[in-house]
Amino acid sequence: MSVLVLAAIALTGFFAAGLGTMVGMGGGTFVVPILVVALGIDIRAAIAAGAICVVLTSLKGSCAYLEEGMVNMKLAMVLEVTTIVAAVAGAMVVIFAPVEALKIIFGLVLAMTAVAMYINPKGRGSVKSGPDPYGLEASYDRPTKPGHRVYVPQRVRRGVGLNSLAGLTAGMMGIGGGAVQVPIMNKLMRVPMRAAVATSTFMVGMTALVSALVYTGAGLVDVAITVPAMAGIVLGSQMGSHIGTKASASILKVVLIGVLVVLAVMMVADGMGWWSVPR
Amino acid sequence: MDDDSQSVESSSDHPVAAYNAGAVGWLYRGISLVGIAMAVGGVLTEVYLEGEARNGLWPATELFGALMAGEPSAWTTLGIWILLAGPALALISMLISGVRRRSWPAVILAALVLLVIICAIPIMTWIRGGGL
Repeated sequence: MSVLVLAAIALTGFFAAGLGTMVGMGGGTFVVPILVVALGIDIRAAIAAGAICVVLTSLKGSCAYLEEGMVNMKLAMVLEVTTIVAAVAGAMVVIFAPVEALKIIFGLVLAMTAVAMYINPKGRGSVKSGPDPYGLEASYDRPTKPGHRVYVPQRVRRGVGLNSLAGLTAGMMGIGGGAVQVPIMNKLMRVPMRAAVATSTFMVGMTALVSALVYTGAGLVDVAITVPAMAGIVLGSQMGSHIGTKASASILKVVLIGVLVVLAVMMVADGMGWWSVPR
Repeated sequence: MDDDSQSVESSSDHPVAAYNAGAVGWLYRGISLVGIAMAVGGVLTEVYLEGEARNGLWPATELFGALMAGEPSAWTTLGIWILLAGPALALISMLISGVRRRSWPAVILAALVLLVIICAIPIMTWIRGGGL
């Protein structure tokens, strides 16, 4: 692959991660569709690259959360058992499903993400004490005030079941699945937002690892796509977190929903054969 | 992330202490740095020397020989494998930590997740055509 193409992939990773990080979604959701619709890269290779990039962003993103005790590791393990199995199933779909179907599914998931972001139902706050049959109660040091924030995750069985959906999505799309996991943990299981984000960031690395192993077996990992995308994502996420703290949240949300809708339409149109990316 | 207003004061230790989170954090920090440095360094060296980058990963059986021969793309492959090893090493560290603290539910959960990851390897071999 020529230097120019490598640079274009790195730039894609940079802007995708920058955009994703500004709104706390990570870069994976945008990297794969932009690689496909803007650079005409094969969707399977883009998904495989996306999964490896997710492993990297999870490793980098989790460090601070782990050291600060924000990650509820036992909850992560409970949820991960079903998530990871579903991710293997999702990765198998990538290998055996037709490319057109993958593009349509990807487009529909992007559209649903845009709708969920637009509606954004409010959570009910965390539960500080009460029955904890699975021993998942946890606490973390509050960043702004003294003392610990204690919480007990609720509706664990339902959360475990629904998290398999996050795993399936992650395996099929080469993304982290945090966009599905965080709302499940925060709104359904009533885990505080900080802990939900930290726990999800830790979990997505393991989920992406199994998908990446399956993609590697299928020979889908293209180093010339993966490594420049990784480099771009590392730099882009730094830029995104810097700008994200300064930009208006409502403007960011509108921009992001717009980008998601455009990508969704382009992916579905490409999958249906109505419009094709020049290769 | 504006839900800190509902916090309660507590002087207790973190209730979930079965896994050594701090050690996993340091492990992740080191692995991500080494992995990305090797992967990017390998691709940049390859582009500098040959004008383009190799597409595929080196097979495990040929990787050591390629590393010894000084192939930059072999360093890229090793960097990617180091990154992928990160979550698995974290699980192993969590398993050891759980056993030391005799927290058996924590051990079982970490072992189950690790088992699924290990099972993905035969799936990988099967997809490659090597048979289960």
